[in-house]
Amino acid sequence: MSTGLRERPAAPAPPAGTGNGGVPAFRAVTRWAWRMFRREWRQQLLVLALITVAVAATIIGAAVATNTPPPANAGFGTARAMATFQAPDPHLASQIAVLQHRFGRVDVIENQTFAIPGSINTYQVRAQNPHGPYGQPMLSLVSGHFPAGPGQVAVTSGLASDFGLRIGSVWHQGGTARTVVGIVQNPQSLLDEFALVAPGQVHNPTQVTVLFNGYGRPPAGLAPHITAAGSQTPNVVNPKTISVAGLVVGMLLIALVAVGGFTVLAQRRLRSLGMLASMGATDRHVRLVVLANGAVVGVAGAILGAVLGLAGWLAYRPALEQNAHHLIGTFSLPWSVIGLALLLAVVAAVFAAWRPARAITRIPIVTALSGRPAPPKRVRRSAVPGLVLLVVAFILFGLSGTNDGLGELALGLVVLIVAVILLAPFCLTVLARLGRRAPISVRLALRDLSRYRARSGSALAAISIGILIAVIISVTAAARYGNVLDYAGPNLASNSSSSTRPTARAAVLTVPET
Amino acid sequence: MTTLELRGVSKTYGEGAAVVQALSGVSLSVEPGAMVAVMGPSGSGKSTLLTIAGSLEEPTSGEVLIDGASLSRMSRNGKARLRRRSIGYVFQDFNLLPGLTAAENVALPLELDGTASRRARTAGKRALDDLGLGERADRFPDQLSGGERQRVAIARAVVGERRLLLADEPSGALDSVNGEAVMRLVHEACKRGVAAVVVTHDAQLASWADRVVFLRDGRIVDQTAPPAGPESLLTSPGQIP
Repeated sequence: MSTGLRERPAAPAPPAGTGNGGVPAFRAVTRWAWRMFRREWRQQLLVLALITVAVAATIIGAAVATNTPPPANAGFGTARAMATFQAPDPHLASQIAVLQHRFGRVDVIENQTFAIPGSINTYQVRAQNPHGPYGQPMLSLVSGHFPAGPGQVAVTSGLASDFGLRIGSVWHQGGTARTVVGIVQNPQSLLDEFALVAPGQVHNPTQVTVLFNGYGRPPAGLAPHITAAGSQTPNVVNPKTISVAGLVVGMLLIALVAVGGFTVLAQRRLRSLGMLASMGATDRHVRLVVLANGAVVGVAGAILGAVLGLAGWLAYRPALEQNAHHLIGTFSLPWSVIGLALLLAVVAAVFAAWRPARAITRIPIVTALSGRPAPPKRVRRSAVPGLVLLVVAFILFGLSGTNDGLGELALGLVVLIVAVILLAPFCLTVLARLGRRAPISVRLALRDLSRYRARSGSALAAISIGILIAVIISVTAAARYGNVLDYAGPNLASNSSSSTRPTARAAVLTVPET
Repeated sequence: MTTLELRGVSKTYGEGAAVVQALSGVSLSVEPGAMVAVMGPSGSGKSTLLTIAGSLEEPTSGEVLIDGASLSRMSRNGKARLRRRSIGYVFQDFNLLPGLTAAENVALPLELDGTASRRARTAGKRALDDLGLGERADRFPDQLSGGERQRVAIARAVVGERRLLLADEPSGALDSVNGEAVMRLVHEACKRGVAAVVVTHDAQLASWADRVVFLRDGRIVDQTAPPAGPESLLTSPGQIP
């Protein structure tokens, strides 16, 4: 080898006042963190997989939960209000005229109910303008075309099956012969079986629905007939809030597990981080490496989870449409929940990386360069406060049972989770002592867990809380399943129905149908 | 101005019965352009001397001055800035960052100091060119030989306006040919005004230094100017030994 320095390598003078190197240093450090993630992503597979699964499960779960109930505008189309009249009514025409005069455009839908021969089921012959101002979302063409004249009809696929009809068939119904020109459906209710005819072709309607955009006070005498869209009281405990609550708890558990994962990773990279510090990296730079790694894991997990979740949703959506009995848009997703899931995935990963990032900067550079693992961190004595909180949690659970209070129950759960986190390191110590007579491999594993309980404690707490949640769900579900008075209990006889008076929780009536 | 000055530096590790005196009242000055070799048996405190001189460790007592500035009065960030701008390290096992190319490794101290990425990379490539590694600039450390890695480490240590080069057994993991080459590079850097302190076990390599300091049990037991090094044979025409 023969080399020599020709001249001193020159470098531009760094800008003054950049104690932390500013943007260039940030970019250099994050670039290195990204490269390290690409090289060593397998070592972070557990955390990555947990975040991916959590995000994917949130997307699918929230999408199913929010799309399973009927759409909020079911029955209203795009109208803000609807008036329903039972026919025959001699004042029907004048009442529709009043509505039209008061609110402008209206969309009139006339229904006449018929029984399906040989069945207890019914169907409706419906006169509706397919291009009406408000009713279009309740009507869609599967094949053929909409009826345009008196001799034409379009039927739902169920009705076509019941009557053996297909496009081009002539259907003799109610003394009238009509040619089947199309197959239609109500996208908002796939159970809605009807035969669509042109407006004005239902001669003896049993029910007339008028859709309109109603603002202000309704005309006198019509108020009992009018229902406003979205007039139901919004329930705080809805699918979205339940999804968000599950997401937050899930991400908290993942963060607890990830703390241990990132701590081990930081220990593995200890020497490299020492090298970085010996080159002049500040504590902030070193912290940034670990935090950037956490952020990269979070972003990667969020993206993978989003792709997986959306793919799962696309695969499951057709089955859900059949189960929920209404059509569901491909991208009819709770985007706010999905956005929150992606954000929380990154936040949870960065939060989990924060503690090892801080801890790694406390290790002297020379120790880091030697690559020797740091001595076990002394754990703060958390057993006593943990036990105290455990007792408080059980007292709160007791109070919630006697007072029937949701507040005590929720507070008790929060206190219980904190107690589990505080007690986890103590439990590891106890476990190591109990395992003194265990085989050498088990004994070494337990001793190692106990020595490094500052980081293994969080993982144990996460596992414990996860099992706690599973047990709570199982016990609650079993209790409700076994409760004959619970409206959600599926254990009623097939000829029974139940109803609940909204004002009296205890008054549940079980009425055998005759 | 003296580049590096150690005044009565002592360092102890441990407490009570387990106390180890790594350095005891060591004083040392290194002028700009001077190359000092530090020799001594294992455990004599050579590496400790280097880490304290380079602000990686605090002395238990005594004072360290770099370009006249006392390290004891500097904050952690101030010391980090000093390491970025004034001190270059060369370790026995290279200590290149995995995941970064040779050029990126060399440019990293400049980027950490706020130099724009492109300019830092250009400076890094020039430094590698000067050490004959221009064609290897885009290789990762695990794609380089031991000698090449150490040359990259030297390029990283001298890039920018570094005034002090600290090398801990820089040839320890190299064969004799590469070891000589590394010492030649350090010597070349000293010719340009860089002060260097090199820890070595090898008397042959120490002969490159202007001065050799012998450490034993944390104390300087001898200092000597070595006999004329191998280069003297080339620079003294007409003299036949």
